[in-house]
Amino acid sequence: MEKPYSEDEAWEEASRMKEKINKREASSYEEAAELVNIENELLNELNERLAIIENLNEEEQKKQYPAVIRQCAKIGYVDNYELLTKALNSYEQLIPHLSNPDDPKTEEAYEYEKLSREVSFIMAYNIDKSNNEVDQETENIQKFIQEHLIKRSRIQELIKNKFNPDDLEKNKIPSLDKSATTEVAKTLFIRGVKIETIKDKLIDVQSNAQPILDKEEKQKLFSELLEIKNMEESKREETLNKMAQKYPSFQEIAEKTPKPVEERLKEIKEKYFGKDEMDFEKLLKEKPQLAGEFLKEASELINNPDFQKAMQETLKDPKLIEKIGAIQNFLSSKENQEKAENLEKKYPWLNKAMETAKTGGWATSVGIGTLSILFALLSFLLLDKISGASVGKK
Amino acid sequence: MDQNFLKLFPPELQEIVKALYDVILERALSRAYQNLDEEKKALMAKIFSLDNNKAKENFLKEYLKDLDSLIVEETKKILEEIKK
Repeated sequence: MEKPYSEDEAWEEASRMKEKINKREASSYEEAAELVNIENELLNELNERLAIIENLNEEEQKKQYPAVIRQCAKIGYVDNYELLTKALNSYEQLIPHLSNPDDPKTEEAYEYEKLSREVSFIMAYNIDKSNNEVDQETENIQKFIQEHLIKRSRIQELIKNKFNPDDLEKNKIPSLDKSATTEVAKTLFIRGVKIETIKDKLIDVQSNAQPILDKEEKQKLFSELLEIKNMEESKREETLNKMAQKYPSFQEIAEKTPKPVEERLKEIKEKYFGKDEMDFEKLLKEKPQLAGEFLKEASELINNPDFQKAMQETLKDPKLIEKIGAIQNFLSSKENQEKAENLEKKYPWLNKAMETAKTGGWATSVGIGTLSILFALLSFLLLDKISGASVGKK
Repeated sequence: MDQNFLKLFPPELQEIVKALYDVILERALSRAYQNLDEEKKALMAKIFSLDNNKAKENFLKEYLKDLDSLIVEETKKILEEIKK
């Protein structure tokens, strides 16, 4: 079997293809169309690389930019000047001497100058070649195209079987914790979903339900994505197959990943109360059947040890200190203390009534009253946008 | 109070939640009492001064049917106060 193209050779081929298109010398309309496809793929590839590199830490960026700049230069045609300029500008920003000539000229600055000369040479060579040479290696080009098409169809097949990228576009992704977000991002990437899509729809998604990755976590993830991108073709295919088996589909992830408690609360709130306030009394009066379902579902949730544990963890968030402090202030306020004392004086039997209400049969089945306290309290602590329990006038 | 209710809160918050629950319940019970007629008020004061647990539970079930609604109302009022 003939040795597959190295990356450099592939870029060389791309340059030749471009020349053919420019000179209208593709042997057929179909060939020209295929050449355009390949050219677009290569452009996408460059865009993808740049999108990844931009998200790496500074040191990694310095390491990665020269290679991608050389690739841009090898393609070296008008369409790609924009990319080349973008990459060069971004690289320049990382080298202090170049952005501020008063800074000492570092080894990095010398490296940049060397790269710059190299890029100019490659581009001049390409222009010269496009004027004087017409590559006749149609057979090689066809093989190159074929390899790409086979790779693409494998990816398509895996995507079809395991994951529907449309879900990402339609924002149908499940809520994921940080670790699941990272794993899903890698899975999607290796399955051929564009980095921009993954970034916009998954990594940078801000919501209560999905904690966003911090700067370092993001940089680590992008380094891993770059590793995937830089794999040799055979290794990438092997990894692709392994990952397709290892990583679950979105649906499976959604089933396995416990939803954050805030999201469960929000879901329940919206299911039974819609977008309105949590008006328990209205629900009870107007939709008694739905109220029954609410009681059942909320009670099950409260009694679920996993949910209890997750809720305890969530409520340990230091951001809640202020709200908890507000409750403490209310409890210890003079007004509240006086009110309690007055009630106890006026109704000496009140404590016993409370004991009965708390421990007797009335309290053993969780009623709408108890649930209203719970949901209003949790909403106050966790879901600022959802107002507490509301009641219609009697 | 249903103990599972408290299990949702970390131990350091449980006392606060219990105290808040008590305030809400206390206010709702006193309002429930005020809604009764004079005869039932006297009966309530009498029953809850005795040690007959069954009678106490029966009274709650029989005459304080609106206790849930009052709890809902008091919860809302108190949370409004806390938010201030």
